[in-house]
Amino acid sequence: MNTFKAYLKKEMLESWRQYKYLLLFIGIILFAILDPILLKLLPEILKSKINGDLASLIQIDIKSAVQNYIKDLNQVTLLIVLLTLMGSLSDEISSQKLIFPYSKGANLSSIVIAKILHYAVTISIFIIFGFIINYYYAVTLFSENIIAFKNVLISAALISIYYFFVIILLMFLSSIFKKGVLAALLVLMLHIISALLVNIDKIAKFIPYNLISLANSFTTENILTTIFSVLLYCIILSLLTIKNYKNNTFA
Amino acid sequence: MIKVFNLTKKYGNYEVLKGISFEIEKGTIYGLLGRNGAGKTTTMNILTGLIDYNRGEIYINGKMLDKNKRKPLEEIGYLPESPTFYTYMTGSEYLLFISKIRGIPYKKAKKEIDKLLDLVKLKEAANKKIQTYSRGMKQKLGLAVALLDNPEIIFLDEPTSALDPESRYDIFNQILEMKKNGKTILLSTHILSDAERVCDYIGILDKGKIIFSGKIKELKQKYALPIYDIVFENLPHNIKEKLNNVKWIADIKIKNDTVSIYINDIELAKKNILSELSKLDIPVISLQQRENTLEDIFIRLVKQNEYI
Ligand SMILES: Nc1ncnc2c1ncn2[C@@H]1O[C@H](COP(=O)(O)OP(=O)(O)OP(=O)(O)O)[C@@H](O)[C@H]1O
Ligand SMILES: [Mg+2]
Repeated sequence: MNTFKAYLKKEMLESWRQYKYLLLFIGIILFAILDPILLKLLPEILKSKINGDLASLIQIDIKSAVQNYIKDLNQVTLLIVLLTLMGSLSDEISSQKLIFPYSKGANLSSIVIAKILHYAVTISIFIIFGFIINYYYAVTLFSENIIAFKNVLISAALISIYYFFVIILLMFLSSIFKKGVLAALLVLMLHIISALLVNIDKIAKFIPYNLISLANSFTTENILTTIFSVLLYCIILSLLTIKNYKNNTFA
Repeated sequence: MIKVFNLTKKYGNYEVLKGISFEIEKGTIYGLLGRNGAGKTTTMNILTGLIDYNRGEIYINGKMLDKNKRKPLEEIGYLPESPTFYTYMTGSEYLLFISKIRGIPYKKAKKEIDKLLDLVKLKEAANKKIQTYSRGMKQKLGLAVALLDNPEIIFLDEPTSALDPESRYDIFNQILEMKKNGKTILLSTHILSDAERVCDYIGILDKGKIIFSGKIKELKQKYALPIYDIVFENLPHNIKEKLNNVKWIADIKIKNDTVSIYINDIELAKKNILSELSKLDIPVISLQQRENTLEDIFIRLVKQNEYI
């Protein structure tokens, strides 16, 4: 528990001093604000360039504004998050930064858990705020096709769980390959592949990417199967990460 | 306090330690000597529980160190050869971070950190980020970290390699002070005069084996054979050939107009040096006996090991 607390604080200090909070803020919250504004301005811009009729074809409503944010969250934001976090674990394994903490009795499992939880909670908070802000702008700027605030919050939770999975996957791959860039590239590849696989109905609900599809459609049908599967993957991957971490750290 | 028996370590197929054994008593300082790549750091990493080993037995404070289960030891301090920190922290933040891991209450930690910073003379830089520290400052901070929470056994891997002469002097005094307080210390170094200054026992590690382990005095008695420096009126040519088959002569070196005769049997040498010289039939200006330095012994021991 001592190690966990010390490392939680260390992660916070590190994220603050190395501008990781700032990067995550930009990657998650900025798009929540910019998206609806750009969408509002887009028809105006187009109107001046092309003749009136075409612009009116692009009909933007509240729902599609939020959906546009979700699209950004699983594209640009994912990239920014991966770039921000990719060095975090591999750095600690390959450089000898752990010798002092370890020789003074630090518990390696607690270090991994502190790291994962710190980023998971940080990103979840940012995502939930992002959705709230996005929803506020969407409702203010557009009028049609309203969705309930409750549904938006559920989408925020689903995306947060997806990011929880992504963080653990990234840590797991870092613990195997010891190279952050490689781990981040693999996560990106798996993300793209599973975006395709999720179209196969039979397996869709067991694929983490399904969380994004569910968030995007604002339905609550059958979401539990996916949530529980993903949480199960998270637990398994965390345990494997801890195991790898213990084996690879000083060897 | 520390017992190492037949310790073997392989990296892949490369056997770094080929069954080394030594023992360190409580309250003593043991110096591990050896050239680059001899396996000093490897030995330290094994004894501190950082890496595993292949064969042998290790007892630390009576407890056996399991070869497969790497586990941090409770009451140790380890200063690695190139200490690395979270460099965005300041020196005192880092020490506080380590105290937290050890579960030391804040107030007590603060007090101890103050004391340690004073001890390694890092008070002024304590609130600067570690990324701005010089190599020597990092080594001092590393020593403070190793000494945190008053460990019983302290491992120091080349603790003074980055230090200026004054700091070196300070640190060695600190090390001697720790010994007075009953601490057991294992330190590695290349610098023999340093070892001579602080160590009670030394072990010379070469080619994966300990080729000597014992008191420095014993080492000197056993291996410190004197050298004869002779100045002739005019330097004799082919003196090497002429003295080649004298049994008690180990080596002959000529520098400027001085001929140095290295011997391997003190008794025979004392009896026969004069008669051998007179056989040469060349005027001698001076004959001097010189003590071997630890440096010479080290080089000779390691060289001998080369032919085995
Ligand atoms: N992780 C590793 N993988 C493979 N070989 C290694 C590894 N670490 C050390 N070695 C090898 O083991 C040998 C001993 O290395 P070690 O670092 O213990 O030497 P040392 O005595 O501390 O040297 P120095 O005086 O330069 O610090 C070297 O030949 C080195 O190349
Ligand atoms: Mg070394």
